[in-house]
Parts: sequence; C-alpha cells; structure tokens
Amino acid sequence: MKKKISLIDFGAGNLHSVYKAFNFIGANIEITRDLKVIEDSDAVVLPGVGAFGSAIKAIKKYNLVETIKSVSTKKPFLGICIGLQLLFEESEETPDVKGLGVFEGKVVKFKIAEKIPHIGWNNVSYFSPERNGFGFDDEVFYFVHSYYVVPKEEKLIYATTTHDNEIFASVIKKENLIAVQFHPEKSGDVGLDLLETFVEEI
Amino acid sequence: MLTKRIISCLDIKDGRVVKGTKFLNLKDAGDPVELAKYYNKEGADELCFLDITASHEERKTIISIVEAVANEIFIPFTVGGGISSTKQMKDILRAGADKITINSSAIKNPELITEGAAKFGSQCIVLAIDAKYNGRKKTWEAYIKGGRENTNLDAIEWAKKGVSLGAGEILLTSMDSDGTKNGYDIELTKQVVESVNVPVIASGGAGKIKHIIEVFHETGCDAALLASLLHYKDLTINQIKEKMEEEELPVRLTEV
Repeated sequence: MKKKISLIDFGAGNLHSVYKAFNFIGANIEITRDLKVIEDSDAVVLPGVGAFGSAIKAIKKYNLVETIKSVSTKKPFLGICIGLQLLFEESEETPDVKGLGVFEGKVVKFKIAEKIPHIGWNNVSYFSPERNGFGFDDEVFYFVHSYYVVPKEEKLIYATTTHDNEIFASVIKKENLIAVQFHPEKSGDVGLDLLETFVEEI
Repeated sequence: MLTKRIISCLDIKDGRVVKGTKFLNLKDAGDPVELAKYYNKEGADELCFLDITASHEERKTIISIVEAVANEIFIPFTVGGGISSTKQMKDILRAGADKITINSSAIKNPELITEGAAKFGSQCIVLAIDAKYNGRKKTWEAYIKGGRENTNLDAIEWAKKGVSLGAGEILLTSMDSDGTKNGYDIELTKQVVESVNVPVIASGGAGKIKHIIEVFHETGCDAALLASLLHYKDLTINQIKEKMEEEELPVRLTEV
C-alpha cells in the first residue's frame, strides 16, 4: 500500500501545482481540509504562496490550527513557502496576526536585498557540513517571496540561500518535519527529486 | 546567488504556437505542450505563453493549454494576452500558471495591477511593456494592442508607475529591436533596470549568443526572453547557458 499523504487545502495559490507534482511522481496524495483525513494520513503537506495574514485567516476559518500544530510534530510533514512561514510565531508582513507558533522565531522582510520579491532560481546550501542530503546537494531551486524565517533556535536551520548579500534560512528541519522557502513543485527535476525523497522517507 | 534566467516564449494563436517577426507574418511552429516539454528538458528556467488569439471565445482554449502544461511541466510559467480582469487572472492561475502578464489592459486600467497584486501577490503580476523609440522626443513610448497603437506614455515612467502600483516584474520588449536579430536594446533595458527595484526581463532582438551575454553584462537585467531564436533551433538553451557560465554569469545548469 502506498503511504497516504494529505495536502492541506486552505485555498493556497499553489495547491494544485503541488498536487500535480506529487501525482506526477506517483504519490498517493489527497487534497483535503477534513481534520480526520489529515489526522489519519501517513504524512502531511502544507502548501502556500501569497500573504501570511490571509493564509492564517483561512486556516482559522477551516478550524485547522490545532490539527496542523499537532501533525507537524507527529508525522512526516512538508511545509512549502508560506507553509514554512506559518509555522513561526509572527510575521512582519501582518504584525497583528499570530502564526501557528510551532517554532519560536519570526518572519521578516528582506532588509539588505535591493530586488524584492526574490524571484528566480537560487542555490540552496547546507548550513553545516555534517548535514546529510535530503534530496539535494547545493542545488538550485525556484523561489518567489519577499519574507523569510528567522528561527530563534539556530539548529533548526538546515540550509541557507543568499539573495543580494542577504543570507536567509531556506530550509528548516526538525525530526520528521522539513519546510522549504522555495517551490519544489516548480523547481524542475531537482524539485521532483526532493518530493520523491520526502515520500520515500515516510 | 540568483541565476540569470532564460525564458522561452511561445506565442499562442488558436491553441497553436506561432511566432512572427515584428509582430507580423505569423508562422505555425507547433504544439504548445510538446514545445513546453522540449524547452523544459532543454533547461529553460521559465516558460511564457502569450495568447494572441483575437476573439474572446477562442481565448478559452488557453485555459486547457495551461492545464495540460501544468500537468507535466514543473517549472514556473507565465501567461499573458488579453487578460483584463482579476477573474480571468484567477482562472489562469488556478489552471496552473504562476504569473500573469498584462499590457494593454494595464494601461487602460492601471488599477488592474493593484487589484491583481492585492489578490494574488505582486509576484504574480508581470507588467509587459512594448517600447519604441521616438527620435523627436528622444524617449521611448509604450505601445499597446500588439504594437499597433502608441499610447504616448513614456515607457520608463510607465515602468516606474507600474511597479509602484504593484507589478512584481517588468517584461520589456523593444519594438525597434524585435525581430531584427541585431541584439537587445541595451540603452532602453539599462534605463528601465535602473529605474525599478523589481526583476526586468529583456525581450526583442536576440540573434546570437553574444547578444544575450551582452544584455546581462551591460544592463543588469534578470532574465532574457527568447522565442524564434529557439523555435527555429538557431541556438539551444544549453549552448546559451554554457556560454553564460564561461562568461561568469550566474546560471542554472541542468543535465541534458
């Protein structure tokens, strides 16, 4: 039996692209906002593109807050773009809206970089040399964002990326959870490889 | 470091890919999904579909093309041509596109940029500008309707305004250079790059690899848009990227 993956539907712009990419690699993935389906699945993917505030609002509307918080630490979990940022406490994008707070730290806007949004293909490099590969090794992935996460605990940072001399955390990893600022669903073969690795490790 | 992007542009008419020079003389150059797959394999960093279908009804075919492309190709792609409402933007983005380019409709209704950016994010809204030099005024003017109508708007001022309204990227086509194969309009591109803080995509005029190297080195633009040069296999993306690497431009290399 193929492992069941829930792709959380809170109306994220890249929902269908992420679905199509998992489908393309032959994964058993379902778009859902049903709390029971999410809790019963073997792994969970939280997609996202767009604004922090409206994403949190939608997650609250569908009553998904507690479920996401609980599965993110219990099951293999993949956060993508806003799906990474939402895991933190707050964002400069919408200061009056609280994040999910799975991790301590906040989401900040690019400060040094001149060109915002950061759009395009950029290198993702391991933060410390003892990290082993999670489907990539100093590869180039596709990014589209204006904000990035600053975790309080530095050891959460799995990989970093540099835009206009500004270095930021592009991959967060803790136990079964991996969350990426880039879009694996739009990063060609390298992105599909990362999704395959995620599926294989469930 | 962000790599310099090579974008393969496909002009779509009635569901087929066509490309003419100087916006006239269209020739059929193939099936959009097959071509998209081909360019993805070749190492295109992005794809751009411009729907030049004339009538409103026939435009619906673009949605099915977007869906078909999104099912099989996992790199970013942009769709443009005749989009004049956020409803149309939503349908195209939902079908799997990542960005929308708007041109004539943004000039007629600049609020469309703001509305689109508010609904889908600035990163989704690419402002396309067709610019032509006016020797008398010594400035570039923005044209609409596929280059048929002069708006008398200063192209550089319009780029700045578009960004302030919420455009996340500028797709800049030099009408003077387009189809000439004599190189990009360096001066125009440079001025726009220096005037805005969002990525600029240079378009129009590439005939040789050195033109692409030149536009990156001399203007600081982020991406080069290519069409007929690739469609008629005068050059391959791999050849272009190898040369870019040799010239120490940041580039995304893929296995071919």
